[in-house]
Amino acid sequence: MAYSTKVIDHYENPRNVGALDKNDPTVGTGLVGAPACGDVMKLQIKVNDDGVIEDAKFKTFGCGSAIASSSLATELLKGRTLDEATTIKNSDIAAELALPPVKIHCSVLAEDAIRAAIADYQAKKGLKASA
Amino acid sequence: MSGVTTCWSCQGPLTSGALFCDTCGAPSAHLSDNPFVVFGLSQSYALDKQALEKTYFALSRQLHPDRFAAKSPKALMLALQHTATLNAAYATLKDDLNRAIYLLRAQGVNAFDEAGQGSTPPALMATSFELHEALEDATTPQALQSMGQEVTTRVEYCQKRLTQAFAAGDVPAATLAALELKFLQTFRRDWQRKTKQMKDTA
Repeated sequence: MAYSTKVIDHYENPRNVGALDKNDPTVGTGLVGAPACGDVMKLQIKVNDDGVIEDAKFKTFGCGSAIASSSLATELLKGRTLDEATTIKNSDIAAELALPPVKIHCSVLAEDAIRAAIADYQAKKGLKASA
Repeated sequence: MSGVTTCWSCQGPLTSGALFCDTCGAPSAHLSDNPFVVFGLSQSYALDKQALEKTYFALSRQLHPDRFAAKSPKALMLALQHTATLNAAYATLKDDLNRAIYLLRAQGVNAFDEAGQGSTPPALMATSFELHEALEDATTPQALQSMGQEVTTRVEYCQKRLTQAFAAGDVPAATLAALELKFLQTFRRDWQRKTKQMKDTA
């Protein structure tokens, strides 16, 4: 099965690979894994005073689709408010990358990572009622 | 499992779950997709692998297409279908992790499916991520070798916990050990790839 050109582009030229300081109070970190394949993904967001995501970084150990999904996710996140970021769906990522059915879970993983990063940021800010 | 139906070929009695009719030898029309039923085993994690392999070879011989080529096309088609089912069942049962995941799914655990993906424990993710980062940073054969030893130790510990958890009927503990084993297996694949690359370029 061949990867789409968009997957290959993100895989060969991944955007925003790297790390932000996870101890920075304005940084939210999401670390998630896919038990179906054993891939792990870390996605971080840096949020400014206006609640806008000004930077996003990722690091993924996994297949081309997982790398492409997280790479695209960081691109989608930059410049969005947290509220807008929560509306990003795995189906948006899967459609943009033309992922085949067996690779949909990679886009689900990216959505999980976005949610986990936002939740981590909100927990740090005390924005969410503590569990 | 102990029900009796009718053989499609000779109309004789057929034990449900059986691969063949005892009377005429025709492959049964329906075969369970439960691998334990296919092998006539009780559904448990503990398993005699030598006996499993023996049964696999015996059933494979009995289902060999050559034995059915001269009989009806339906018998041949069923023999081919059952061979595929048998191979899949064997792959599930002989591998400790696959067998564990099958049993956990049968208990309603969804941790290995897309729906349960978000429920993987954070501590396990952190450990797994750190292992991958350490592998990325490893630059000497010595460093890789010691990582390989660490992973082997971790895998063996997981396997031990898996056996104990199933013996005790502890589903949460078995799920956790199986999840850890899955991430370790993926990590070991990456480790093997890097070890090979280093050997090739040395």
